[in-house]
Amino acid sequence: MGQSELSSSILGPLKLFTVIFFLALAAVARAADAPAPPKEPVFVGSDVCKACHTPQFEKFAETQMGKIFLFNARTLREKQACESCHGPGSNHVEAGGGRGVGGLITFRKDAEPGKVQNGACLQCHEKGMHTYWEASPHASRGLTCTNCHTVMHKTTDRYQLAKVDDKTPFFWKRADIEVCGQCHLQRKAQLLRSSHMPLREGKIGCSDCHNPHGTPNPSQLKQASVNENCYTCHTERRGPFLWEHPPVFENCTNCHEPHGSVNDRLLKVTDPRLCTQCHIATQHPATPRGKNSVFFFNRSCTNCHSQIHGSNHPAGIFFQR
Amino acid sequence: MKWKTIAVIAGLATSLVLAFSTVIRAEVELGDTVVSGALEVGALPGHRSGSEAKFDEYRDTRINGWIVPELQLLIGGKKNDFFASFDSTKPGYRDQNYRLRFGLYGLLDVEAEWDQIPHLFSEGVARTPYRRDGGTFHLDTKPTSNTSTGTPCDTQPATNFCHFLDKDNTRKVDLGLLYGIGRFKIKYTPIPGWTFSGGYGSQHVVGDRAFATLFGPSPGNYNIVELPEPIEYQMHNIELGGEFAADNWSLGLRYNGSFFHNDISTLIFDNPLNRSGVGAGCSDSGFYSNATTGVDANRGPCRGRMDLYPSNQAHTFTLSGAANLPWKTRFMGTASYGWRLQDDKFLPFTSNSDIVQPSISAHSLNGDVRPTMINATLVNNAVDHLNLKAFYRFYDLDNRSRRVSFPDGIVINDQAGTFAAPNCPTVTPPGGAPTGCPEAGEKTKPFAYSKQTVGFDAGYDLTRWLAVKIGTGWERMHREFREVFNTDEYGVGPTVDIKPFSSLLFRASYRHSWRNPSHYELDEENLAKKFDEARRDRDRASLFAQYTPWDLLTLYAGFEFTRDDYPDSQLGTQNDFNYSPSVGFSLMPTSWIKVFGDYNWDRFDWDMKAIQRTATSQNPSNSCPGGGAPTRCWSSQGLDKIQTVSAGTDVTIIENILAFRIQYGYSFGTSRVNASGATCGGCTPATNYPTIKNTWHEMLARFEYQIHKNVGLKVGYYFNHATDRDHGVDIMKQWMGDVDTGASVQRSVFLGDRVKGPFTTHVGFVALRFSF
Repeated sequence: MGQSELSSSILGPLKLFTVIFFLALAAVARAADAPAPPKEPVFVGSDVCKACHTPQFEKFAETQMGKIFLFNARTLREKQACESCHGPGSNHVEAGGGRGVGGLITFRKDAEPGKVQNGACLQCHEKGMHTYWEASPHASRGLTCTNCHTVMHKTTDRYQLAKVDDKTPFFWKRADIEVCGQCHLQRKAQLLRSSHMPLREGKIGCSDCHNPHGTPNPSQLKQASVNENCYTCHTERRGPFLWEHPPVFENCTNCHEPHGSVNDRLLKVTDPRLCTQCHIATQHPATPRGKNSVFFFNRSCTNCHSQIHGSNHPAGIFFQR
Repeated sequence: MKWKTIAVIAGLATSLVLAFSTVIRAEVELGDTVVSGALEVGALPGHRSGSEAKFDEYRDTRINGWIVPELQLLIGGKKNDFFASFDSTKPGYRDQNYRLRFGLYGLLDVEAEWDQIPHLFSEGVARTPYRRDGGTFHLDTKPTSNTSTGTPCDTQPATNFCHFLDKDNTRKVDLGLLYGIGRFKIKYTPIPGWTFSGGYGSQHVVGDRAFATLFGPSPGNYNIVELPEPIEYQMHNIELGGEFAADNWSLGLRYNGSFFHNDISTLIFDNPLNRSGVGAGCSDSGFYSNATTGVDANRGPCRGRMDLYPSNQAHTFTLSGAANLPWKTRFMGTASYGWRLQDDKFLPFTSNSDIVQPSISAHSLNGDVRPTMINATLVNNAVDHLNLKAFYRFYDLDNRSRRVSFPDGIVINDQAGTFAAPNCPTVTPPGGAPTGCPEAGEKTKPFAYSKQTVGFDAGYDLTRWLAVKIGTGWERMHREFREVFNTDEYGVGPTVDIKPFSSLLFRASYRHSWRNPSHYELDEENLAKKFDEARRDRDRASLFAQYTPWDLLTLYAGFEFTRDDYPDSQLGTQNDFNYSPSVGFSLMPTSWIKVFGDYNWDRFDWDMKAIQRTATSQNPSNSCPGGGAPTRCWSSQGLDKIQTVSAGTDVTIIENILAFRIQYGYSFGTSRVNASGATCGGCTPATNYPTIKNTWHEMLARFEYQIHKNVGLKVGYYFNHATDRDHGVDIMKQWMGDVDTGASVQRSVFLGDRVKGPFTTHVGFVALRFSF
């Protein structure tokens, strides 16, 4: 092997070794400069939080949750107060505070994944009417609890909704309807239809029929079926009757649109066409009637068949008695 | 009340308050409690023209009257251990509300509420010749002639039927209901984890509601009697429940009992067409006669009898629970079982003494329906960013009510066997037993159904800002005593949620489902595949977008679409679709002004086919175009279009002192029904109906001025205008002589209640709010 060959055989590895050496040196230097991994945070107590976040603390103290956490706590989680939702605060305090410092859970819009934010609430609120939250359409679409509720200051008398009631002598815009109407725009518009239930008068709200936190029932209804939901107020139509009208017996929404309709009596389709959709027996059911016909004006088919929801009269086979 | 008087009173009140304001403090301390509250007192000077029924449909707005919009009292312990609040809205008004709530934080929560909901149907419009005594409607006089032809009433003889319905012979009747609802709820958490709840609710409904019934063998005689049905309902509801919740599981049991009682369950009403006499002087006839001239006593029964809603009760037990399982799995389950019971004694078939009562196999229904619901749901998040959900649901409505049979047939409309049913023979001798009466051998059908639903969803967060989900499902509906025994419906569809920035959100979902009946039982009489059972293809889509380019501006838009197609339905509903786009915005250019508005357009189209039949042999294959003459088929299309606008602004003129708010709402809806066809000789041609139109305008503008820290002044103006155009209602008169174009004589009694008419209201609002 000549001298030049010897040089090239040594230089290659030497260059490689040099590069590796300096890279390692740099890595060691970076490691030396890198901050130490965060300590496992511990709870510091809500008085510490109050010292810096006094206005928020005082507003929170006026809410129902605040009254429980700060003055009437019975469980360990409740006693943790601020930190039961935001997480242990020692790292945040030691770092001198600041937004996003210390690994606290924050509930600002999109600051954390929805599941993390919701997880804080679900520690306590995963029972009762919130049992089915994980299975609900709202959860599956990534909604957070704070989309509908506020926690840190008092809003509505109940449920801490993100909107407030607007009561006037003429109408009552309920907070729950305003909250739902943020996304359910068509339903919100339906409230102003000519035929409507008293939602815009504030007498009932969305949450009288639906549980937005999830239920095992279709459309997040509170009751097991559409009809059972309607029977909570319209109990007279529950029957059972001697003569039942099958589409009524099965589902009120076969004929009615409960959110509001341009047709009278919340009907989906104006009568007599509502009835003609199914009834084409001989004689009058399927005869088209003129606009001045008794089969059309006033109450149309129910001018005669008034017991259309069912009759308990032996002679009520055609819902006329 | 004059404006000047109001101004003087308001000024005096304000002066008094200001003079004594030093003694009013925010929150008063009484021993260990802190008391605060507010009282608002005001007046509503104004003017309304037109119909009141629509204006005050669900509210009580006493124009030119005093009002207490709100009364509030809050009591809290200084140690923040207990709370009590009392809230009242519009006390003394028909829509008044009172709520009392008290408890110990975290331990006990008690709430009692009294709420009233008026529901006004008509005021000052409806009239009736009947005199009501409980559930009985008497005619103290009867028409001496039973003819009413197409000429105006005032040109006809005074003894004519329509004169029987003159203003002088009728009484004004206002129609409406008042719901009085009482609720009591208690929630007790004695130790963490355990929650007990109970509640009692009662609902008392009183009033009158219009309904109609029929005398006569055929609807062509228009022997309709419309009456104000007296309503007196009592409903009671009891709820008891308990739940235990540990860290990872919970279990609860609940009972609900519901009791309905109808204080007036039978309605008796005189027949105006039986002119043999009044009250006890009347004599029944088993037959109707179509004679139009001369004294004719054979006009059916002296009176009719209606069975109103029977009293009933329901009981339900519900067991529900959930558990957090390994591998980030959560199980949720519910099982409920109930009873719906009703056993009111049957009325006799008829009160017509000229008819022998046919036999009936039972004296009551012994109504017993058992709803059962079972649900099991699993949600899993074991794999990061992957969410899986599976559920099974079973709902069964088991109808165990007695099957009642009618061996001799059924008396229809208090007459002896002349009803023109396909299986009914000709007239039987007067007063004789109805032989071969309609529906002889008929048995009731205890309809029942059960529904099984299975669903599976898989969702994946592709990135932090993009999530997709696919959902599938199957539902089997099983029915008893209907045309279709089983239907299976399958559905599948994706969902996408995109959130590239915190200021932009986009949501989209689509689902296609198709429903197949196993077999459809059609017969000569029943040719239509009913839309709730028939084969159906459904598409449903939903879009929502929200964009906040700057903190001060939010734009949002939505779109809902549903389309149903019934490909196998030759008759009945063919298809329907609905789409509804919405847009809106919220703008806050400065911290002291906010402007908001939204617009919604909604359209609903439907399409149906029918065939005008006089015999069961007529069907689409021999009576419709392409199937042979004559052409009996006809079609109808409906189109509902509604536009809704709402807008407003909130302005803080001087922070915490002076604010201004204006809100406007507008809705314009039309419902159009067109029809064409049925061109055979002797057929009634299908024609369009006049379009229904209704308009609603509402605006409220108000200033809120905080005169003093304890005294606020509200001054506002409210405008409300509505119109309703509905040909079927607008033409209503009680005797309807000049409306019906048919050749038959008109002999019906209507209330005329549905004529609502437009209204316009201008109302001022002046109120002082005292808070402490």
